[in-house]
Amino acid sequence: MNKPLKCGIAGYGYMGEIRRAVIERHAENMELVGIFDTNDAVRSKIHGVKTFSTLEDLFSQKLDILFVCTPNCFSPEISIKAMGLGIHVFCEKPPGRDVQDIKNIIAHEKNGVKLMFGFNHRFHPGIVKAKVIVDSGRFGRIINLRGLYGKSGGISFKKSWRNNREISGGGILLDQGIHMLDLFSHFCGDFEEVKCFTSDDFWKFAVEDNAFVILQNRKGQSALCHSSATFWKHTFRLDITLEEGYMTVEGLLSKSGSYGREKLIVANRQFEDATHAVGNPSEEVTYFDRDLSWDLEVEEFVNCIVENKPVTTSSSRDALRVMEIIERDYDDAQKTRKALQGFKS
Amino acid sequence: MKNIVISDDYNAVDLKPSALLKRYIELTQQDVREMLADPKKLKEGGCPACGNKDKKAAFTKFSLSYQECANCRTLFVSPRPDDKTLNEYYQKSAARTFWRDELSKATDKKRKEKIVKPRFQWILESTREHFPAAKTWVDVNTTQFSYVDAMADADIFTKKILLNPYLRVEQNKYPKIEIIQQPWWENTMSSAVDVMTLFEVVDHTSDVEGLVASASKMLKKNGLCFITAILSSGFDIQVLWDKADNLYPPDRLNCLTVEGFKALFAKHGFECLEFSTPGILDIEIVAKAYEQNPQLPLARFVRDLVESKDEQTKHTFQEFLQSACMSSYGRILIRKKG
Repeated sequence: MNKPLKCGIAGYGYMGEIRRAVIERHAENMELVGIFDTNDAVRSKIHGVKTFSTLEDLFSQKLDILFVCTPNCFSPEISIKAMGLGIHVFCEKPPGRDVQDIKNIIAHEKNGVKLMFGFNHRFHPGIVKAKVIVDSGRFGRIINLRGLYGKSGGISFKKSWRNNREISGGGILLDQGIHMLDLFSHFCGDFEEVKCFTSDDFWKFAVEDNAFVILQNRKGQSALCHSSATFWKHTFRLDITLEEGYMTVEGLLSKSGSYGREKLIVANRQFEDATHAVGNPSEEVTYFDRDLSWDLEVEEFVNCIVENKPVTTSSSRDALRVMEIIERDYDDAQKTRKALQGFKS
Repeated sequence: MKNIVISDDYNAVDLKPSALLKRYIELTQQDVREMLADPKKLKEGGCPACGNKDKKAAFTKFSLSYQECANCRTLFVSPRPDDKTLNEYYQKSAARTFWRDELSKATDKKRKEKIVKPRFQWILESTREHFPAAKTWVDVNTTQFSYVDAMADADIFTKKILLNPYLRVEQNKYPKIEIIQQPWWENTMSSAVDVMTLFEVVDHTSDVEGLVASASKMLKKNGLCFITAILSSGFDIQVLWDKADNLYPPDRLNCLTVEGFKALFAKHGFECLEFSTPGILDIEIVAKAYEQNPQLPLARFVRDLVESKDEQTKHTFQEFLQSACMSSYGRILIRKKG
């Protein structure tokens, strides 16, 4: 690459810091020219790069890429403004608060401007390796998927904007479960049938603290996801059952390490004709110790820009499909809640 | 970087039947004395892994001296024969002829199932994961035809090369493989290879630095190199040390540690993508050695493990060795930095 792409960051919370680190690790391809945040206290703690209190001032830096790391209610408007100026946009998930938000973004995704969303779990090493094995056909086709993804909550969790419906648009499913639903699509494609139960019985926020989602597609593949803010232990587990074997991705490399050591378990199916006892096959466990997901997804985005290729992973279509599933989840859960209220009365 | 843990159900006898192995070691001992032990042809050297000059004498086997590196603890023969002499040994010695014609054939079926198949699966899947555009694969010094058969079937590579002065292969038997009957140090390929395999080659190479530098030269940027080796940091070697039946020259001229390998790769601009020790046999090897020689001076803990613990406990302990990279069978994937 001749000249590094000029990058800006909108919103300097947890994700903004992560994106800054990624840009700085790829200094040969990207240069951070400014950070926008409306919060004076946040801006005062940023060193080594220009800061701006208005988006327009950041845009005056002639950006090539904007990383949108703001709360959900602001992401669509900021993304749309940037794309309107011909700036490529990398937007954190979720892509807004509802389907209408992502549709609005897509309506402004003009030719030539690249748009990608931060579904970084696709790039986690356990998932990358599992996808390679699935695509190799070694174990046949996927029969079903089962995912658990949850956190422990806590004192700061109570105060998080993520639990304010006005800002976030939804609860744990939209915030964290969205990654699991995205992975389901990554492995099996589109799901047509959607069922969901939600509850907010423990935290009593205006958004769900637990969601149970069941999906099925035309190919007959089923997927089950439990997304929770009451696991009390940070948990990530994805089981993939295939015709000739199974895989489990468990644990997740993260900044805190609290989801446990990321590993991929792989085993062949064994029936009575095999040497092992039925139901207890030999397993191969791969342990991973480096999370390159943040870097790999941004490298993919930069490649799309430099080589003028369409964004094909974590694309706006992927974002729309997962938001449609979540919206249908919420609708279905709402119907069930109403029905249950009928029982109570 | 990653490491893997495997549970499986073969044993040492499946791969190396006791009587045949005993004969092979007898022949090796005889051949080493005749072909490799002439002091005038041996050369003193430092650690083949980290290059450190400080070493201490460990033990002697077949009249060759093993040294332990004071820095990375790699075990290596010094003074040692050079690669030309070793090349001649691997082509002409009675021991290697016995290996090719008898031992290898007797265990071929089990090896195919337990060693070759998983190893090729590892190569194919890791290549798809880390270098999906790879087309050219070079294997250096394979000693078994079952590998060549598997290589012929690996269709994701359009160009497959055997760089091997020992293996007598009929060219028309493998039309999809180019056979170069040449030692690695004479080859002039440069930035031409996507994937290279070095199965137990480091173990019996005199100039390890030269081998790794040559691999680096042959590989393209981001090219992958798959390596297997016996590690002296592994459990059975650490416990049995000079009494380890599987540790003898020249097949184990070098027995690197995990740290030794990492130092070697760092020095030559390789990034380590995987370092696993998925060995199955460490405890079985120690138990067998103790059974054959109850006078073996084992630590109390180890003696208790092999003598009194049930199979499930031994299995769990072996899995722990794998997950902590403490088994003696090493499986490594490195990438030439871009």
